[in-house]
Amino acid sequence: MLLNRYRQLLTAYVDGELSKRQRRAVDRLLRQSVEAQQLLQQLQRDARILRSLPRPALSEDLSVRIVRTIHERRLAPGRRRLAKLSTNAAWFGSFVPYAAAASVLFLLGAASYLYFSVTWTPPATTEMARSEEMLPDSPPATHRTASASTHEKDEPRTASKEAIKPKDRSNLPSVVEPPAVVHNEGEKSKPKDSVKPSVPPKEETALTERLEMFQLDRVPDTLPIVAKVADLKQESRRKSFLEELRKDSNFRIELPCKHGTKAFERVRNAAPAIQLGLIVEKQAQERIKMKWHTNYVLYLENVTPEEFVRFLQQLSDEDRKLAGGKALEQQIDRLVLTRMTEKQRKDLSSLLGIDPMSLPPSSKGPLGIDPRTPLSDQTAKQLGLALAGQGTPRPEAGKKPVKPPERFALVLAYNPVRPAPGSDEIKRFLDSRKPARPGSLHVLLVLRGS
Amino acid sequence: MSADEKRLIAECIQGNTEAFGVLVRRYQERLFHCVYRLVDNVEDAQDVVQEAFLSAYQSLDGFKGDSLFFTWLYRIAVNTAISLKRKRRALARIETGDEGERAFEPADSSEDNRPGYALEQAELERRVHDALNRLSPEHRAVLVLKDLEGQKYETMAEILQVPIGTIRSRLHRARLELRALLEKDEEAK
Repeated sequence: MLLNRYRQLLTAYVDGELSKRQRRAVDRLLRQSVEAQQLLQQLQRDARILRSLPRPALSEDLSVRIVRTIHERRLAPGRRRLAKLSTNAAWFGSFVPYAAAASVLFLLGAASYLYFSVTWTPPATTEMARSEEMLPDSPPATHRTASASTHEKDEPRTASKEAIKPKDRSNLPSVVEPPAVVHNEGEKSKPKDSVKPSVPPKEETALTERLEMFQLDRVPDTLPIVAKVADLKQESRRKSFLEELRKDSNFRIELPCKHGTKAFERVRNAAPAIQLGLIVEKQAQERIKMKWHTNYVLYLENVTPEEFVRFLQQLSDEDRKLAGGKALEQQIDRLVLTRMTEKQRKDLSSLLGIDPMSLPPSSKGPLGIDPRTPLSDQTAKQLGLALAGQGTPRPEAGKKPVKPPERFALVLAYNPVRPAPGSDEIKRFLDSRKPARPGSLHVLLVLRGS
Repeated sequence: MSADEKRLIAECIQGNTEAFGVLVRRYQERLFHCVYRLVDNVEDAQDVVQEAFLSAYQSLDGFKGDSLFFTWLYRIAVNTAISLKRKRRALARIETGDEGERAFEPADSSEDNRPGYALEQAELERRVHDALNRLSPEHRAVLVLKDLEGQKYETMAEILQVPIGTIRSRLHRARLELRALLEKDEEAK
């Protein structure tokens, strides 16, 4: 077995990066060791094959695309450095919320201390004993204070239970006599028990409602949920997944797949199950056409949890169908459900050019039809489109008419190079938005190829 | 750096995007070849090259000319490609089980004229290519820069922003790892 330092010399020899002295050492080694000769031959052959690997030609001149992107994104030399500087400022700024939270907690603690130190007076020993006796189910006190025990000694043993009753409290020196109740004549007809006895004010203890402000609230459950898409057919899994979806309205679902474009075919086939139309952005269209490895993001809204689960079930069916029974051809396995974070929401806003969750849809109807426009104008326009062959196609004879989509999802390529916001397809999607139904979701679905 | 390149960069900084277009046309092909071997996918390679050029354009005013413009471009593109590969590796991967069962014959220059040699050579290339894809992004990067791009240790250290000693040891480990993968493949046939 060759020593590591000899092997290191041999790899450097292949790289042609040895000094004269090292080269002489390698020559000596090669003369003495057959193993070294063999390893060198193998390493040299590997390097030769690496060098001879074919070099694919660039299919298009990227300069046009790059210059166009520079104009579209309004990039300029130096902008990145400014962005970095602002990021550094943001780093400093990121401590501000923590500092603010710490200050609030400190103030709260200080205020609580001051408040309780003024209002909470430690009860006298006898009162503590009494309050213990007033507890309805309190066991006989065996650990009472000395003064209470002395008092008990004065009473007959058999009367110990009566001593608990409030009427006998008059014997206690610390109890203030209750005021006499004055009855009017008119009130005599009322039953005696309708007169509520005056309830003594609750004593301040360390567990009164004053501490409600410190009662712990439920910590929101924001951990990601991993679910097998095919398992959503099972009633129990479906129900628990639905419960998760009902906990919030904004979700991001990561759907790892083998080939993004193939997985998208499944999505396209599953969409009609919930009358979902797809508006595919131009760059994504090109990639689908070329069947390129691509990640896609689908943004859909106004979909109820039940509808979305139905869509996922259909997606699983389509996956199995298109795979033709071959497990290796199946594209979809598990999904990761997370509630949409602020950062993801910003990411979505940068893709669309607006924040769809804060900006309600315009008053326009689906696909840019404005219901406020006089009917005759719209009818004439639609008639014109129909005559030009661009209207809604008639169903073929013998085939069931396809239901028009009730809502649309926007499909974008989600690669390192993102589409610029404001494309025709994005505008079309924004125009197609409808007012949100109660309990409906905003979902960002990412198809990520491996 | 040539005077022409300096002039083009100065024009870019002044906002002449056409000058940048000239630089892109000059280097896109070379950059694409290198990146393609790192990401092993034409579409991803195009995306990475485009992103690298856009990043370079935005950082042009920070380019001091201490290194060659192309070396500087390489640095941006290789780092973008490595981080893309790291992200991909981090994702749960569903293995396709694409293991070949074809014969492996050691390449021997005396056999160049033997019938079937070209076929076997193609097969060998495929296996080296597969083994290369199984290396870590860092190991793959040094092999691509050294063997495919013919870069010196010094330039590689500049591109990858690590000391020369690191380049030497990474290359050593990468070559031995590649060899081990090929031997494993040979044993499995």
